[in-house]
Amino acid sequence: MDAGLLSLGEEMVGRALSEGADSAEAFLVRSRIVSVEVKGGEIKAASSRVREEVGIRAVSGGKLGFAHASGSSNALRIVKAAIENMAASPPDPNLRGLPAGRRPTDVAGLYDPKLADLPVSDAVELMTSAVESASVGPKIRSISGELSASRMEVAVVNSEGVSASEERTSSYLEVYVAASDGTESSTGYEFNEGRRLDEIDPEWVGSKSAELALASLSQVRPETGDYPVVIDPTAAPMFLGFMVSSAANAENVQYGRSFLCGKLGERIGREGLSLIDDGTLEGGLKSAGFDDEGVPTRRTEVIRDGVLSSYIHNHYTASKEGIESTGNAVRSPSSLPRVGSHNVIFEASQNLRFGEDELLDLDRGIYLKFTGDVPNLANGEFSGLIQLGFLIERGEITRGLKEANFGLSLLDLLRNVDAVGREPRSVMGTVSPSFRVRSVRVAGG
Amino acid sequence: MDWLLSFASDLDPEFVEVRYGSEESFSLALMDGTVREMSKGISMGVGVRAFYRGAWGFSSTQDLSRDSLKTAAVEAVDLAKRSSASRKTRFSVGGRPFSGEWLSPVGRDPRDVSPEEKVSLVREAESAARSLGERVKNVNVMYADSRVVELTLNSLGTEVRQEIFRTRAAVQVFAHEAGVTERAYESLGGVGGVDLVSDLPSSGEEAARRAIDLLGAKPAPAGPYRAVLDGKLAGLFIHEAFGHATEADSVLERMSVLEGRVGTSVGSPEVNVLDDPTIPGLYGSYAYDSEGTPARRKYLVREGVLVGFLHNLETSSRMGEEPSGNGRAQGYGSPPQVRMSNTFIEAGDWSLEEMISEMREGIYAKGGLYGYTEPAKGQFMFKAEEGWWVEGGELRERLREVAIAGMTLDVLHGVDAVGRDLSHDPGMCGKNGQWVPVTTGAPHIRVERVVFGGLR
Repeated sequence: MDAGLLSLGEEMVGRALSEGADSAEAFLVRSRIVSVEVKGGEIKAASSRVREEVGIRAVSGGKLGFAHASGSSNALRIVKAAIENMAASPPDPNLRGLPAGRRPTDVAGLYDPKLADLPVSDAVELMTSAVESASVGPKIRSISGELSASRMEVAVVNSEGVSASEERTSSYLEVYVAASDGTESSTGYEFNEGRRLDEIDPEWVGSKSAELALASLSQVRPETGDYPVVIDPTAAPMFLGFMVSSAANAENVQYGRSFLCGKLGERIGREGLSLIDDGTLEGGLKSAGFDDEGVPTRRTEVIRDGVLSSYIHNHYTASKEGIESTGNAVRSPSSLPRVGSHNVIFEASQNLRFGEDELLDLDRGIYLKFTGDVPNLANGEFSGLIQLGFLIERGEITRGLKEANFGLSLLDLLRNVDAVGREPRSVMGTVSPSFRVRSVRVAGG
Repeated sequence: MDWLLSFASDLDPEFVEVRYGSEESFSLALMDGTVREMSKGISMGVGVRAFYRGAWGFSSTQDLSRDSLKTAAVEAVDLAKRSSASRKTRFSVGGRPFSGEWLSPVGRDPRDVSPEEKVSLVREAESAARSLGERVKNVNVMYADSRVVELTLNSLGTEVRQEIFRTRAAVQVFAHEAGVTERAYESLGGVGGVDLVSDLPSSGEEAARRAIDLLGAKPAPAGPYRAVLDGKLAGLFIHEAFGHATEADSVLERMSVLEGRVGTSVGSPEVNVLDDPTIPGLYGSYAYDSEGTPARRKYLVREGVLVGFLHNLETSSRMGEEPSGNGRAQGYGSPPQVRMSNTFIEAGDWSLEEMISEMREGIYAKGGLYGYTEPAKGQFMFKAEEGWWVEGGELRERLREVAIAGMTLDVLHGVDAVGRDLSHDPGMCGKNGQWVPVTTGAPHIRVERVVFGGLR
């Protein structure tokens, strides 16, 4: 089945070489996404999107041209555009061609035929069951959500020997619940994600999101002050995921944009804490056999035992420093490869490990379930709204929070983690248990 | 496309729409003096959307062969029927047919400007930023232009063709000194051609100046304060915190804090809010929405009172209103949703100096980086790029990036001064995974109480 994409890629690369490129690369993605949407508590819409997108890089000396198109019928047309851009582009002294061909890493669990061919009627059924599980009483004011199942074929072909293709599936199911008791309004949100259909549990997602909405009906503006904060896996991507994907991103480091500039080899976190970028994790949402320029994926220890031990690289950033790519090229077919993370895994030594319940063992604290915010890359400071969070009082989660802002620096976070749970969960590819930070500034009314 | 519409109509949906779209785009990225990306893109395809007994089906394809288009139509109708199977809430979708054609003004057509000239424009912006000295550490300049053609036909008899040119450019600067790094961002552009971004070098200089100024800034204090918001930040607020809640789909889904509040006070009498896609040259402008409804200017809030909501064909049918021309899709590959266009607070008559001079203690927050909202709860957060600590009616101390949170209606009721200096900022607005060009706009406004989430 991949012969289609690979041979089209080869044709594009061949054409680029014959039109004057020294080396060339085609990146091709064919995908089908089926989704079912719930609004106002009922199935409201279903959709099916078929896409085929291709991108071509043409290189000559230090000059690079790029073009992209939708549909295989335009694939050869854009080769000419890439060549024209190559000719018009001023040379880049740091451009060192394209990666050499190597065998992709064997990674299991990237494709689930059940998900690839999920009938729409089954998708409707799954979503219906999620809604039923969220419909737990009169205080539930509105339920919305979506199930999406996608199948994707990715191929990279270049003139230096890369010829790789892979089929991957992925799915997510999310439910968003609004609740009201006449005086207060609240919201709850949960989801599942994975590369296999059996990782999706609609009853769990539905009932959890309703539970969260109801639990936050009783709301309080926290007093402004410093609190211990327990960070749920749902919020971990904004801290730990960001740390690897953006802060330890070699492109951001080389350009001086990141607060981790110049800190390689330094202790930046507490002993016993490690952050690993892993493209090879079996069944991982962000796993793959090769990255988006055909370099085999691997496991990279970004922070080892509290010490910043590696940045993540694509071919361009790695060759700028004369080292090997870590296989972290990430792109869509309509853009050039950038640097991005695979699965980001948070590990802690035994002495920092506690049961999830023990993390709550506080007189007074905050439980942070969700923030949609992102840290400031330049200084590592994070200030944002606790979109879904709770007050912890005498070891129990009690009331929901409103208008609660919090602020901390990511470097302080890594130094001040004092407990890490035992039950990791993958959220947008960040695999982490709940963890506790000793002291965080929280601003309320 | 006429044949496809009649083919799809014969499959017996209650309503069906066929949209063809094509886009040609060019983009450039300059990083620290090196052109890292010069890119050209082409994309085209068709989306078919069908409605049946209260539910929608949508199918899109990039394969424009007759067979593939037929498959898309069959699939869209089939998906609508499957989705409607268990529905209890039934309604119909109707309205008047519209027909017309619009070619956006283009000024200097980007297709007539050579890549070399575009490269020299981004280089000039970089040089302008660098001219501020050694502390300017990293300069990133992007430029993008596009030409989008959209053709919409539906079973009500609508047939609309629209061709829109957009040009946009932005500069991001990171400044560094003694272990401290700060950043600033400036963007400009709109519907039209290369002349819209000819001031890019001034943007470069402005971004660099601000990044450098921020190096000496202090973290903002945490807690509730009286605040003056500049036009960028107030514009972001009115878009994120209020505008999204006026989208009628969120009202119907019972996800809007504005449900049932039309005709009531939602803000202080100083506040007037508009959504207007007809302003020439702005990034969120158009003549027809993606469903083919003509664009028009409408008040959302007049003297503090909620006047109405933004509609597409579905919500106007369900709520017995006129469609407001706010049914927008990211492209042919996505179904239209209720979206904003150019949304802004109308100018009042205060000057910034007057607002500040009356403040005993508070924060002057500037620059909207981004924001998000919990529409059902009416809670928002947005991020200011910088600010000033104000004491005794004077700007005392420069503050760096700060988060601001609050309950939308509390803030709108708390507006006690609206400036006379309205400005609009281009940006992309995301909703359910679809991105559309918009502008946010406002003059300076002053608010009695806003919660700041600083680090001290």
